[in-house]
Parts: sequence; C-alpha cells; structure tokens
Amino acid sequence: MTGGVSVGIYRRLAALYPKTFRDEYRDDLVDTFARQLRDEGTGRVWLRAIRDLIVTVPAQRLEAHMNRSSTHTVAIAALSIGVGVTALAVLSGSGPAAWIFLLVAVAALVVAALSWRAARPVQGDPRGATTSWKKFVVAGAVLLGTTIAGINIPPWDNGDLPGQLWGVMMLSLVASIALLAAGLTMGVARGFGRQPHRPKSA
Amino acid sequence: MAAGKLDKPLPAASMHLLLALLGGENHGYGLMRSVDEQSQGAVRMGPGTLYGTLNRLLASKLIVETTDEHDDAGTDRRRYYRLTGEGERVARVELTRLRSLVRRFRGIPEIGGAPA
Repeated sequence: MTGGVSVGIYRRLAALYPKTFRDEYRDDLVDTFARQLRDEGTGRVWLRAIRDLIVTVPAQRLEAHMNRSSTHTVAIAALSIGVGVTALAVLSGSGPAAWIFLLVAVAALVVAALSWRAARPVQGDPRGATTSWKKFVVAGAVLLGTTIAGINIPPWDNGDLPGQLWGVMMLSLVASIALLAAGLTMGVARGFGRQPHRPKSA
Repeated sequence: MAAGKLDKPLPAASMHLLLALLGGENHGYGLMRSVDEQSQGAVRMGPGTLYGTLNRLLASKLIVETTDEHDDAGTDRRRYYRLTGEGERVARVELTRLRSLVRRFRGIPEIGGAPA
C-alpha cells in the first residue's frame, strides 16, 4: 500500500471521531500518521493506528457525549429557572418581591449563558449561531409586543379581559419572555465565546 | 485536571507527555517521538491517543498551545505546545513520585536476577 493511499484511508477512518474532536484535530491526526509512515514501516504504523482507533474512538465519543449532555442540562435547567422567575417577577407587580425575583432571574440567566458557552463546540458556524439567537430575540419581541398590544386595545383595555383570553395572554407573555431569555442567553454566550482556533495555512 | 490539583498519579499517556514537555516546547509528532525515546520504545502512542491526551491537558490548563509564537507559523502547519506553570509543577510532582518509587524498590531483586 502506498503512503498516499494509506493516508487517504486513515483520513476516512478519522471521520469516526466525534465532530468536535474531528474538526479540531483531524488534520493533525492525519499529518502525524503521514509522518509516522515516512519514518517507520507501513505495517507497524497501521497496526498501531488500528489499535489506537479501536481504543480512542469510543473513548472520545463517550467523552463528547458526557460533556455535551451535562453542560446542556445545566444550561437548560438554568434557563428554565430564569424564565420561570422572570415570569414571577412580571406577575408579582412592582413590590420588593419583584426585584428579588428579577435578581434571581438574572443570576439564573448568567449561569445559563456560561453553561451554553461551555457546551458550544470550539469551532462552529458563527453565522448560524448569530442567526439562531437573533431569531429567538425577534420572535420573543414580536410576541411580547403583540401580547401587550392585545391587552391594551379596545374593548379589553379597561381590564375586562375574558377568563379564557386572560389565560392565553399570560401563556403568550411567558412564551415571549422565554424566547427573549433564550435568545439573549445564546447571544451573551456567543459574545463571550471562545477564541476561534487559528486557521491552518497548509 | 483533577489529577494535577489533587496530586494523584496521572494517566500514563498524560504523564509521559508532561515529562516530554519538561524538555521544552514541542509539536505533536515531536512529542510522540520523545515519549517513544524516553520510554525506550515501551510506550508508543497512536495519533488518537496523542491528540486526545493533548486535548485533555489543554482543557485542564496543564499545557498551552504556542503555535502563534513561532516565526514559521504561517508555513508550518504543526501545532506547538508547552507546559504552563501548573503543568510544570504537576510534571515535577510526577517525577518525584517515580524517583521515590524507584528508591523504595531498589533493594528488591529483579525477577530471575540477583539483588541489586
């Protein structure tokens, strides 16, 4: 087997690694394999590479899965708490309780943003991420605006909202806050995002 | 890495890479060769083990990537790594542990051989 064919096959095998690891190290893995081929016998290098793949592919997949699930769980839990407490703050009026709820909500949203950032892959599509968080914010703002307008237009602007409609409006209010919070959390996480990796020249 | 902070023994691959980096910064393949030499061929890593371990050492801040500090960074595609202060401390703790282990068992006869 020639060196070029071996390197081509190894490059395909390296696709077995999880995406985050592959995106970061695929070129380095292949480059190291090619250098090994240059310095050692093909058979010996392949034997070591196959043994290495058998051990490290499942290990990397497990590691990626565990990292992703734990950090995403924390982010989602913190975001849910943040949204819930924000809704409580809105519903509890303007007393001191509202301010306490707001403080707790801000803390929960900061935790959610940091966890989201930790769960983000090192390399990703930054344009996709931007679009995604902006969509959430715009959708939340539109829904919030519509809900507020709905409550304040005649004939319900004097507070005579029918019971069923009141429930729908409250649900809409909470949903809009959830969308806004999720979008802002993702946006903040992106703003404090990791340094993108230096692109390789060759 | 918790191993470093709690001074527990490091996994073999991490230990060998940290000890190899005590000799100064190096790139991935250079580290692989160094480990091969320092273990006299007993530890031969594959690329997946090498970069998986380097990735964990980076995440635990025991090493840093120094590729950008190289003059030839524009033409050389290899990534370079060096120990952080904590990484050097952990490597030296590991070295001390190995030395004390060797001292402790110096009087034990080798298998099939005479006492030292």
